[in-house]
Amino acid sequence: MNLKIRKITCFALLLALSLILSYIENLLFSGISLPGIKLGLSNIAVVCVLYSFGPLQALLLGIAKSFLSLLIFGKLSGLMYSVFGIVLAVAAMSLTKKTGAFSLFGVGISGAAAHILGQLFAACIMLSSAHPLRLFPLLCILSVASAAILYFPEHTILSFLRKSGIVE
Amino acid sequence: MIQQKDLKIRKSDIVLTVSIVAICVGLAIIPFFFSRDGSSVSIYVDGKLFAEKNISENSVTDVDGMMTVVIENGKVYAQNSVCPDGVCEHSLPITKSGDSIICLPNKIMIKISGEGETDAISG
Repeated sequence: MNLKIRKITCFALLLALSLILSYIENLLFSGISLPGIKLGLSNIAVVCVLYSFGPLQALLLGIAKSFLSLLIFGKLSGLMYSVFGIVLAVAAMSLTKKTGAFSLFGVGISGAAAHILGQLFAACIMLSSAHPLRLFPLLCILSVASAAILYFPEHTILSFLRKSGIVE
Repeated sequence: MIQQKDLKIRKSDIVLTVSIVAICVGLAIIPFFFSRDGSSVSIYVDGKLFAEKNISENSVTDVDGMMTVVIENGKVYAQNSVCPDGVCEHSLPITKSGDSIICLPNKIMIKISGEGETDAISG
């Protein structure tokens, strides 16, 4: 019972973390905000939940984050991008994690590539054209670069969670 | 559940990263070899054709008051967008067939299509 409460609290904290990270990121990079060209700080929380809880919980966190950030930022068009992105990202990360061949770094990279692909799919549906996919190479390299940067905070948080014993 | 060995960067991670970047660079470079000058500029709003312009004639098109599309000496670029991001304004002018400028917030797409008449002469 005690452990369950701990888990729920930890999940809620990570969800809150992801929201405040999106907010901070919005403040910092409000000038350049094409979906994709941003650090994606809130993905730190998604990756941490994937490692400490599992794929389903990561998906839940991602979707909850998308809907809650809609309430914060009020951009309805952003909802479809983030939901598409997060679903593909969590799917790709779960698969790469399951193979066991890759560490946190590789899992994050695959998630970043899938995330941008998902967002571009959403853009394709909204524009009813396959044209946005042409942006994929550039955006993919940028998001892979941000995933590489995000590896470090993710590593720190997960090392802490591992030692603290909050998640078994 | 979280294992120390899962947190450290491995060789396979580097291989994965390098191959993803290599694929992206490849995908980005290939179109350059096949790019041709375009002949017409199509402006789509919400997936529907809004206007079609000739690329060799200079013109300024107002797109529903949301942005201005400028065609100048075979270069196409966007101006005065109402969206706060301004990504379309900052994108480089497009010149080749298949190039596009996309404004996601306003759902506007500017696309160059067709082959240029000067293609055979100037290459």
